[in-house]
Amino acid sequence: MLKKIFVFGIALCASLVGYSQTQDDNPVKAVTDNVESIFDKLYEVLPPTKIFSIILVLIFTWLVIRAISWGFDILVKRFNKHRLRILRIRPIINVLIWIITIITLVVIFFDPSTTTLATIFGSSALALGFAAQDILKNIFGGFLILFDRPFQIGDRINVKGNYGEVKNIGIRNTLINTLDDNNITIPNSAIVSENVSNANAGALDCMVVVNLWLPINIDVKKIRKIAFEAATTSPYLNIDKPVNILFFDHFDKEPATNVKVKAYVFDARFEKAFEGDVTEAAKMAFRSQGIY
Amino acid sequence: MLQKLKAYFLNIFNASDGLKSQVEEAIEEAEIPEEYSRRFDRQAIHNKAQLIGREEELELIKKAFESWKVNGNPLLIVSNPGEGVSSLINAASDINPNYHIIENTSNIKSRDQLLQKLGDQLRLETDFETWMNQADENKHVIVFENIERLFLRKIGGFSLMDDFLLLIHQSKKKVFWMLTINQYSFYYLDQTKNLRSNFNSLINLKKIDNELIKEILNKRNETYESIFLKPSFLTKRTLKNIASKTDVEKQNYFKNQFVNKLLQFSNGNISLALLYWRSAVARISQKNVYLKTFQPPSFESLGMEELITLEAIHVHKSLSANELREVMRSSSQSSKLILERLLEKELIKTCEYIEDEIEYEINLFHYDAIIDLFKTKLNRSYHA
Repeated sequence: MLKKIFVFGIALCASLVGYSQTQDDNPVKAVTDNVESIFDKLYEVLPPTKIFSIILVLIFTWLVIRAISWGFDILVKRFNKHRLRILRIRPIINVLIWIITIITLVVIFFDPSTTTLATIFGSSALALGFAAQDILKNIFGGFLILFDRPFQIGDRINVKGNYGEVKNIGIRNTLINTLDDNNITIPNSAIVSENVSNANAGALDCMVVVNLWLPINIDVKKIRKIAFEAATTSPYLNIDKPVNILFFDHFDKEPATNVKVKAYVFDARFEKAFEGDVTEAAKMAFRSQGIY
Repeated sequence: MLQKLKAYFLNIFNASDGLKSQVEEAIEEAEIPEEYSRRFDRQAIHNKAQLIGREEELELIKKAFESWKVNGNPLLIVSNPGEGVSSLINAASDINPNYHIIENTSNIKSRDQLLQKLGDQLRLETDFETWMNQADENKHVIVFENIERLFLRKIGGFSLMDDFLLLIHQSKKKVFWMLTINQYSFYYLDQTKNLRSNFNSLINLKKIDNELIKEILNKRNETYESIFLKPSFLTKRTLKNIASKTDVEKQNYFKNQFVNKLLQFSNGNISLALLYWRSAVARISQKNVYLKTFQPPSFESLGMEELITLEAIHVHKSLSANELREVMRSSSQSSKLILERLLEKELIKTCEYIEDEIEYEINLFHYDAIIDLFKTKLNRSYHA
């Protein structure tokens, strides 16, 4: 990245020097005149009142986005069941507001002609191509995530071994809150090029697999009953979905039976609470019935 | 500016908390003569002639009884609290002279306790199983109320329910079993244990028609003149609109407001309608009843722990602190603590009919609000 900026800078300086040498014999005066002329033109195009107005509009836009976010927070609390639907609209609205604001600012304050626009885009593309390649990748990645929707806010995803709840999908990064309550910022370009697993895909509930390990010579019927009741008596269970108990024998080092309790938790946020509750209850029952 | 906006919206969303205190005030401050208060009691009726609005269900019970004579199917009646299932089964007593009602006011913990209860309430000289073996076919009707009392939501807590269902199937040729269950308990047991599959005959109590509710309330209010006070939750705009009206028009407006709120609150449940009316009485002077419309409180800010505790209690109809500890897999202190918090918020109350141990049940006054929270916050696809 630095290398690209350096090369771009050298090229710019060389062209300026070359230009000035062809125009005048006194190079210092020529450069001073050029700089003055650039500042004059800049002042013409962007007087302090315009700069002040632009800053004000940007601050106002930021405030509007904050107010909308706050409104969304209230809606989420009020309509918890539709939490994910509400949250997933937020980043789209934020991006649209910024795009509309920037376009409006450009049109109102600069009123560019088609030629100017083409020039701006051309030179921007050149400069950005050198200097901001990675940023652009992330921005396009962000658009892809927003409109292709491999996951949405509130989903539980796993990217590069980081598993957690998607808290925000930004223009450049996606924020994930892991089960250890760490916030991880992942560049959108990395997400687009990686495999992403999504546990709940937009639904409020999600499947949880609880692993219980038992000796190989267990009474399967007895264990099934305990494991099933451990899940169905948990307050975090989504009782509208099925509970399945599966048995797998392992003979790797010590022979053991892996009991998998597959059930749905009513809200993905209680995934670990459910897992803990079922494991604890099942273990206590196994112990009280002399299975351990 | 942002702070002001925030404060404004927070006021709107927290308005319900303020209204809660108004409800409490209305309940506490009103001095109601006992004679008037008794009119709104929610006692089950014992006479078929007094049964109103349940003719269809009564007919279905008779049909289920006739069909039992042929196929031996037991009957399950599913109802919400306060919908009048006790009155219905009392009124159905004329279907057979050997009609026994087993009342269940507390949780039954073991098979022995169950058989003991059956023997005691049927006034048997032998134990229940011996009596069952000796009983004649097609002779007895046993109504077993609140079968949700037969399980505890814990590992191993469903054995008694399984035993009881087996007992029913074994004795169904001799006894017409008529069972009642709380609708939310039925929802839980049906989703987790497929309870429905044990019953070919099933009756869901329907909502009482709004016109009938109005008729019942007017009948109970007979000889009193109702005067409707201005509700405290009216907006400035509404107040401005009604300012120009005559006194009669204002009364009509307030009456409509009251009736609409009452019907919305009761949602076809006569007990809830009676509760609303009783709570709306601001004062009684001579033969005038002053009624003030109120907004029932909302509990949107209720925490998840409180909510899952309420669900645990309601699934069993009522629970003691000790039973709650077992069901929630928590410590004794935390169970007691959360019960205290719920009592303070008036979301639960102690059961008046249980003597040996204090049990807690959902406050009927907040029943609909709590069930709504189960649906929205616990993501339950429960349909009453």
